[in-house]
Amino acid sequence: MVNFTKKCLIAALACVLLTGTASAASHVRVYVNGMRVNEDVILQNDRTYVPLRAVSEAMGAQVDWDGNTSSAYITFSEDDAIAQLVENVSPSVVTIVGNYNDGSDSGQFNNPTMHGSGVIYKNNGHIITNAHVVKDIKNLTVVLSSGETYPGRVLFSDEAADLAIVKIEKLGLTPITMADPSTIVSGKTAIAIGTPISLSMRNTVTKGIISGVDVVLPDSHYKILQTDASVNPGNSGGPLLNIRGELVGINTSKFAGVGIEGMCFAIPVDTVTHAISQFEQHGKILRPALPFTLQESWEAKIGLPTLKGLTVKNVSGGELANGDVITALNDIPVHSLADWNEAIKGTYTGNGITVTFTRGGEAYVSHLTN
Amino acid sequence: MKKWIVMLLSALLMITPITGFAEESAEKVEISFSVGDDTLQINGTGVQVEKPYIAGVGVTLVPLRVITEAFGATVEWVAETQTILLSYPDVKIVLQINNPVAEVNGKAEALLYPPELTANGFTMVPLRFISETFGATVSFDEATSRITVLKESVSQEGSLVQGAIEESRVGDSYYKWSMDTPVGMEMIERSFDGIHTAFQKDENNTIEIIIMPTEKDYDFERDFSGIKQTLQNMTLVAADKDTSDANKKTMHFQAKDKSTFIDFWMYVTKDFTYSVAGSFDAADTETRTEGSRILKSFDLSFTNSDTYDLSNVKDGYRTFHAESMNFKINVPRNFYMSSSEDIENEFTFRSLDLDDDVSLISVGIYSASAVGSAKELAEKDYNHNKNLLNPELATFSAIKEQIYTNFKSFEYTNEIHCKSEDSYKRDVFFSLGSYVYNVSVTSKLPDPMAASTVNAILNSIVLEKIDSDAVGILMRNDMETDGFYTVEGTKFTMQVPATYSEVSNTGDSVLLMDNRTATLMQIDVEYSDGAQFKDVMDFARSRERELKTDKEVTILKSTEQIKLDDARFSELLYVTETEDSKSYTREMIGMKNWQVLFVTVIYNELTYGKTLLKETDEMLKSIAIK
Repeated sequence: MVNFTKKCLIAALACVLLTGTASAASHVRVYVNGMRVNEDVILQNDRTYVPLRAVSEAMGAQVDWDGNTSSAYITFSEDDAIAQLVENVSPSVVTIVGNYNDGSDSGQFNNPTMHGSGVIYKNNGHIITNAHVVKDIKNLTVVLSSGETYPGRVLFSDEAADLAIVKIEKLGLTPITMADPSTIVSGKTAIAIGTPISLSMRNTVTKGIISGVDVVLPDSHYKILQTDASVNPGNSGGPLLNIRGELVGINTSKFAGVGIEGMCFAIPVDTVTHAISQFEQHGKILRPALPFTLQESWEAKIGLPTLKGLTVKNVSGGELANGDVITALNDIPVHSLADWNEAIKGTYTGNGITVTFTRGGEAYVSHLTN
Repeated sequence: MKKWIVMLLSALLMITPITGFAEESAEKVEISFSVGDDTLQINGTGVQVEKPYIAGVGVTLVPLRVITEAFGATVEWVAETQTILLSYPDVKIVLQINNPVAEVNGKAEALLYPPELTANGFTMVPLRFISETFGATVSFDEATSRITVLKESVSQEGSLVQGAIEESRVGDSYYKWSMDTPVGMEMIERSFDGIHTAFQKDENNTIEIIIMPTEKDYDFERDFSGIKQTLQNMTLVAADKDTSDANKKTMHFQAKDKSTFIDFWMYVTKDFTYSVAGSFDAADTETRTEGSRILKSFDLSFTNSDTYDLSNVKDGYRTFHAESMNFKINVPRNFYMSSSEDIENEFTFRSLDLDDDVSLISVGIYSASAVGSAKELAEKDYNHNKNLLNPELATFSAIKEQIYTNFKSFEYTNEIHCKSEDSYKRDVFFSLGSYVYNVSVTSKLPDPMAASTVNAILNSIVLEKIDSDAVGILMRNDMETDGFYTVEGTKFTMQVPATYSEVSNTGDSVLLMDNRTATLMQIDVEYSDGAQFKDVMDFARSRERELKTDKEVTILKSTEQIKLDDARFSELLYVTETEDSKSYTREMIGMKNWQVLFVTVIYNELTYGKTLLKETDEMLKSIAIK
């Protein structure tokens, strides 16, 4: 018994002596872009010394070592950063494939397939994609970047927001990091990863910039992002990322104008996180049931900035009357239907809405239940 | 040095892995407790642990033991760094005391609240974060303040995406044909009754298979020449026939012009004629050659091995599914769909048997707001038919209630025996939601469908409520009297129901026909100049004597005087019968304001009934002399 303990002690002492420094450095962790660098780190004189090659290569830099001169050469460029970003983020991007047969005899014979893309946002198999990708889909199959396939099922779907959540039974996946919405501005690099056109182009990458924020299209329920990163059918549901590999939007080829080059659109990350949280809390995106419809001004329809409000129409009950013009919702000014939808997205909790409206030249405020 | 040894010893003593239970990831995991409990229900057993509590913004912390007991995860504790390494199939979580950043498979993830040590040294970890990462769902019941963590046993439910069929041949087991699968072509048409099947690569490259019953007097040779003639405007490449087998005569044509290549086969058997036609882009040699090969592989046989069966016949029936109407009905396999597939709410199916043009299954779906309730529609149809049809030829049961598998009905039956038709019909009316359904099954006598068959058809009906917002109003196109219009003769006018059309009108002579029943009415007007009604009766009687000599005519009611309002008419009634048809004729002669009206109405035997007789009388009553 004594001999055994002594041997261990000696072995342990040797370890300590060999490392030679004053403190157990293994409690210092280094992460590059969220991924742990699994090498020992040394603390000396309050300075952290990291293994050069491991950290540099984790960043995408190239490290060349000249043994003769004991020199290390690190070369790094934006290009490398982007290539490394793609490598890091790719495991979070999936392809969604399925059958779209209508049950008819020809449908069963032909078994047509269609596909889109998706992003893993939770490590236990939750994926966000476009609602239109998974609408009426059968035999939904998710293909990971590694090539593994899993059957999936649609948990939630909202067609107005064009977002849906798909779940697969797989743990330990790499989720995407959401970008801070305030950092999304025109001019910044935007990278789209997805599977456009053909399944042989799985997880291919296109790059552009954010061309515009808070863009409104006739069929977009909320405000969307415009980018020139090429997005084609099949990219739908896939991620638009910033240069740090964070999610700034979900690509939506649905809005692509026919024959318009360089103009593609994405659902911004704040709408995505709103949808996810609403799905998790309520099983759907809450919207008030209104006893009227709204019409925006012609300026708003064509996208001109305007101070005009939304006109109330088709009233079927409640306090408002046809012709009332709503100028604010829950104290947020609204001049277009997109403004209205965004205001609901930002403030509606299921307990009614407060509208500010004008009638006959006078301004009123009213709280509508529901 | 002493300090070192002490530190080393403590380090050594602490680096002892605490192995957990064997991996049981396929088993169900359940944790249930209320905050404040120290005995938690873990996988069905009560386990006493250090009390869980809520920290930070509502984060529930539980002792590490709860995780290991519930999930069977392996735990490793690194004392120096106060790091917890949790291992679970596919997932490794690294947590550190007081560190709000965790690692999942090496990726940093933020925690709402970090793990911490209690005063008495227990390691407390965030329940939701770990449970969800291990694939469980965490729920909180506000009413009972109970937290439940649940992971169902992992089952890969759901099937993977499928491609087009893999069998090398495709065919129909009912009509007994099969052909090599047209790889590269999509099926664009497959009719409900299996009569029409079509494939296409693109609009210039198609293959079509059409099956029709063979006519009794089908002349193969004549048809062969006929088809050859229609291909006159093309270059004939092949024209072969094979009549060696009387039960399977074959013809084959190939023809081409600058843009199209046609390859056509026809197989004639006693029951069915199969036409298999390919039309290809003349410039695309590859597609054309492959297409011709596929056509040649067509065979009047069907074996189950490696052949995809297109036939939808099951136990002798085909199930017809009208999706937008949420309606399903089984139809006997030898029936085809005779109505257009474009009509949303009315469907008719007839027998393929060429001798039988009577058997019929018809379905109609209408809005209750337009036709009334099922009972009302049944009564309306019943009365309409009873009054329209000849009571000597058509007999009706009373309306009664009946119960079928999925609905209750009001129904009646009627039997018809006449020259043109011997039939037995069951007319069934039922409703669901805001729509009324009328299904009728008509069989040919003397060999009608067995009652069990009719019952099977009606019991096979499966219906679900129709979304009236999506579907809207469905009316029945009744061809009922939609009002009247005025027929103008030179010297008279007459009010005529809108269902009658003017076939000819010379001013003094008008011929009308009823579009519903093909009843004919001829009116000729002559100026009388002093004629008396007595003369009219004499003329009528002489006409009767003339008719008596006609072999095909039988007098039903001898000439007598009748009154229609104030006008007097002579009326003669007789039947004209030939081998295939029988009709009833009413000849009437009347006088009004010195005009003599010669009226002849010919009713077909089946509809010689109350309704039409009354209609005729009303029309005659409305005659006004100008």
